[in-house]
Amino acid sequence: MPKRILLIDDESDIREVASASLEIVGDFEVLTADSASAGLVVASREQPDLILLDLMMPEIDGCEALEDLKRNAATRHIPVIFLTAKALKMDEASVRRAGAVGALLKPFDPMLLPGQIRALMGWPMESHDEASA
Amino acid sequence: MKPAREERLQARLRQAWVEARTLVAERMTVLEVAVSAANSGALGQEPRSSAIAAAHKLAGSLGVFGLREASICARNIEEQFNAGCSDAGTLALMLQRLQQLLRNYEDAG
Repeated sequence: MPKRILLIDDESDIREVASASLEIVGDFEVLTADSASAGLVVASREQPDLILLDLMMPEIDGCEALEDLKRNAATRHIPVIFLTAKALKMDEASVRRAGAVGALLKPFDPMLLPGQIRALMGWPMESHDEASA
Repeated sequence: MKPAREERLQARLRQAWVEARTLVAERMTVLEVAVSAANSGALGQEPRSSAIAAAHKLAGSLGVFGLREASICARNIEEQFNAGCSDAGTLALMLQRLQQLLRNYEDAG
């Protein structure tokens, strides 16, 4: 059964490219939400295996969203990986302190993204996964 | 990766680009307005903030579509606006370069 990933990002083009990458290259099942508040609802209802969370979003940003996820008993066990622009790159200690598994940089390479996620999560690589950059 | 899988990905990315073009054009318009205002010494806080957000989103978006140089160019524009755009001439040149890179990509497509 494929792993299910919830992608929370306010940018429609990023959601579409990441979804294509995760579905076609990664063989993941992808759920999407265009805001943190919508993502919190989907996460609670769908119980994905992982949440990819954009750091810079209007209204509720990624850090606040992660706090909300960790406060909620229905979602606190779901691992989170931040998607963050290079200019806002977080160091590993800050990522861990925030409660995330790791952070991946935007822009990402759609060919490499699934392999980078598997590496961070300790999930087995698929035979077609590209080596991470 | 198997060629069929790669072809499917490329097809989906081409479709995504068609849908993203309107967004890219809107963000470029925000930059053009802000750079024009900066050149005439009349850049207010709101257009500057909008330009920072537009350049930030362009940098991420263009990068995932493989437009690496355009992404870097957008990132540099974001940094210029963040730094207060004291050098409006450089900003205008950066914007021209970004416009050219996007035209090249469209022409090649």
